[in-house]
Amino acid sequence: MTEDLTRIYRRWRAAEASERDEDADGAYRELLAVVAPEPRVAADFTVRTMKAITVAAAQDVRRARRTRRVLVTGGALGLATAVYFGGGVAVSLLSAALLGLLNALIGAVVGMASGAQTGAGFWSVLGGVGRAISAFVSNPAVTVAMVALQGIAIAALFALQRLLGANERSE
Amino acid sequence: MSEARLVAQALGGAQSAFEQIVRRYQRPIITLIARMVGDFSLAEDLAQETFVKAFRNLAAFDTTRRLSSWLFRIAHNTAMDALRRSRPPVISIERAPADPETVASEPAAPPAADPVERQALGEALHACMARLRPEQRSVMTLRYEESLSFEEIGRILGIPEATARSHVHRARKELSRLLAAAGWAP
Repeated sequence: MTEDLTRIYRRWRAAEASERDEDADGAYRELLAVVAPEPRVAADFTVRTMKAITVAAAQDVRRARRTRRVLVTGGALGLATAVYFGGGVAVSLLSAALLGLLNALIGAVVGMASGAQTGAGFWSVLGGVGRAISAFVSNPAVTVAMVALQGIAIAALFALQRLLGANERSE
Repeated sequence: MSEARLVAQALGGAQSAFEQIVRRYQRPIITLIARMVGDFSLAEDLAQETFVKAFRNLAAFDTTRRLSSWLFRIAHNTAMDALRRSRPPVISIERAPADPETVASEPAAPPAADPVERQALGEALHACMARLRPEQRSVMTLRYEESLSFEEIGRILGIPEATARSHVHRARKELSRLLAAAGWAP
């Protein structure tokens, strides 16, 4: 064994010195197997680790519950505040948007009907409808309402995703 | 039981399945970390941290890949974080002389005859290993103690296979040079 050790050691050093990478790789592996014992793992390592995992899992559950509680409470408070302070504005914006939509529809129908009556071509009827739609979209109240609705939808999706995530972690 | 099945059971809430994973990989994980940080009791703590992180992020594990690679990666990163936190790095490999310079200054006989010499060479190797950079210690452990391929090492460390090969080559050359400086003649 000891002669082997000397031989392996010399083989490794020789291979290293003469840049024979593959040989050096193999010889060093052999050498290490002989001289370097693996560290001994404490007998209770698994038990300690599993206890730490149980503690961590319990912490995760608590954290998830806390997050859910904060989100639900915060969401409810935010919604109530938004309704209280922004209710009037929202109603006026939504009604303006509804009015604009109705106007656009009426404009489109009237445009189509008058176009049919006067024997206008397909493209001029389509132009009339387009004008009615662009008048609707370019109304500032409508634009603000659309942006606000998108913001609310994004916030709702984000909250839902956080809630579902928190729920998953607590299970 | 297969790795994928163990992971699936652990994800389903079976702690006994994760316990099997811990039992299966604790030795290689502790070995890797111990070689990197040079302190066995710290290595056990960091290995525990590694398994806790793995448990928390098990849902993110891609079951088409090897569990061992994923665990080694977490262990490597955990050890690197610990080394960064504890500057200057802890470098006192188990059973090795406290000051690696001592090894370099004391002339030692070439490896020879008896178990004492074998142990001496083992200690010298450990001491010289401790003088390598943590990344080099990591690649050396993965390559020679865990017998991983360069491709696998690259995957674990997030580097190309050729880079992993080059890291191992350089680390081994450096080790050889340090041993020579310590008086371990070829």
